[in-house]
Amino acid sequence: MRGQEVIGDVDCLAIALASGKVNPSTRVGDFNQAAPDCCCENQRMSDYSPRPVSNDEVVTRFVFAPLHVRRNGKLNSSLFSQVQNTGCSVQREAIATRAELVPWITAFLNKNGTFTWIGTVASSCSAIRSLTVATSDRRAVAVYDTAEPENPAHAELFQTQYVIDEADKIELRAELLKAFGGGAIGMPDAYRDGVVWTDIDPVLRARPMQR
Amino acid sequence: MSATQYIGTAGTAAVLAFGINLCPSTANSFGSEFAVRNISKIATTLPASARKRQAGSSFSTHDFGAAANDQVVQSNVAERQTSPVERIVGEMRRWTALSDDWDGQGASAPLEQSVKEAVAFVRMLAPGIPLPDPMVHANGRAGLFWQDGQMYADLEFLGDGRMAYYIERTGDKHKGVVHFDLLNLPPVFHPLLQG
Repeated sequence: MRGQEVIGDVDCLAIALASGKVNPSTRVGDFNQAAPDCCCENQRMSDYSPRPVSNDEVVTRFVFAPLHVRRNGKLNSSLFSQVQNTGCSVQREAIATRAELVPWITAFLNKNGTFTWIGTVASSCSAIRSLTVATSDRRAVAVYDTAEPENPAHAELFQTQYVIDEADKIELRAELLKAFGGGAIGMPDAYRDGVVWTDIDPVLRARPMQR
Repeated sequence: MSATQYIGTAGTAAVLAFGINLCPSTANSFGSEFAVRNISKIATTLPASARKRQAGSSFSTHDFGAAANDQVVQSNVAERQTSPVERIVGEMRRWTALSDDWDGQGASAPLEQSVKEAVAFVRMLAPGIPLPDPMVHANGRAGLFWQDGQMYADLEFLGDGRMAYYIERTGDKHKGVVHFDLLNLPPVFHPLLQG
């Protein structure tokens, strides 16, 4: 299997492992330098990955931190600010099973007593991959398959090397917010008809959102 | 009524004390300092520890504490509700308690200078206009966010005296980076500042 992730001189698995190793906040930049133009999108980026992310997949971003939510209950753009530096985590709907999601959500909520499962937003991968910013007609976001041992459905959104200026980065957040529904948050009991929600510990389900 | 009344949480956001009209539009301080307006009106009611600072533009919470402990101050001035702007400022000040990984996904702790700049911007907003939601990004920078049917605006305070912005309004898009000079902002900011 190893070796299939090499494109010319670009070893996508090795780059994925090395990016951000020294400084996690430069992970996206490190990656773009080593693998420009989204060239690793068609490659597996993790040994735990079943396959690269295809355009017809839907990816979901989970909302756990109250600081990502506005006073009116809608999202602010900060939910997507990780696309600039560390990578913005999403779940691949075609791959994530209920049996994997429940422990993953539970573990996340247990990291911090202020976290609650506020909801989800979703977008098609093709919509994300078609995003641009006004200063460039090149793609602005790559979607990479970065599966984790306990979470094989894990993928990440990285801005590309064509998003340069600080204002471009803000525009990209606006575009991502639109692609993921414009700010409306899907309630957790509506996600997959509530089957994941009902499996979450009632104590965690009852946590109030604390700003 | 007690001489000192604290409103908000952790004693940080909004404090009403001795009927002082805390001035959200002129403060340039951060942390426990509060700018005050009409300070001369209350100077004679303050204990010596507080009077020492009356010539300055800021007022320390230590002074409030000293006054309360001395129990020498009484006030008949009516209570005032925390204003929406003060609530936003209070929320941003509470971010100082956040550490790295506040989002569970590796975010950096809020950057103090960036938060200061965002606070200064919020204090410039005219009364009665739509207020932004404060936000903090994964890189630790503070931001302000507006989104309604008419306008989308996202400001990010870079913490080095500059502010990046992206504004959509009436079909037009504006973006750029400006030096953070509250008195000389481009016209595109006027709807944010004045409604």
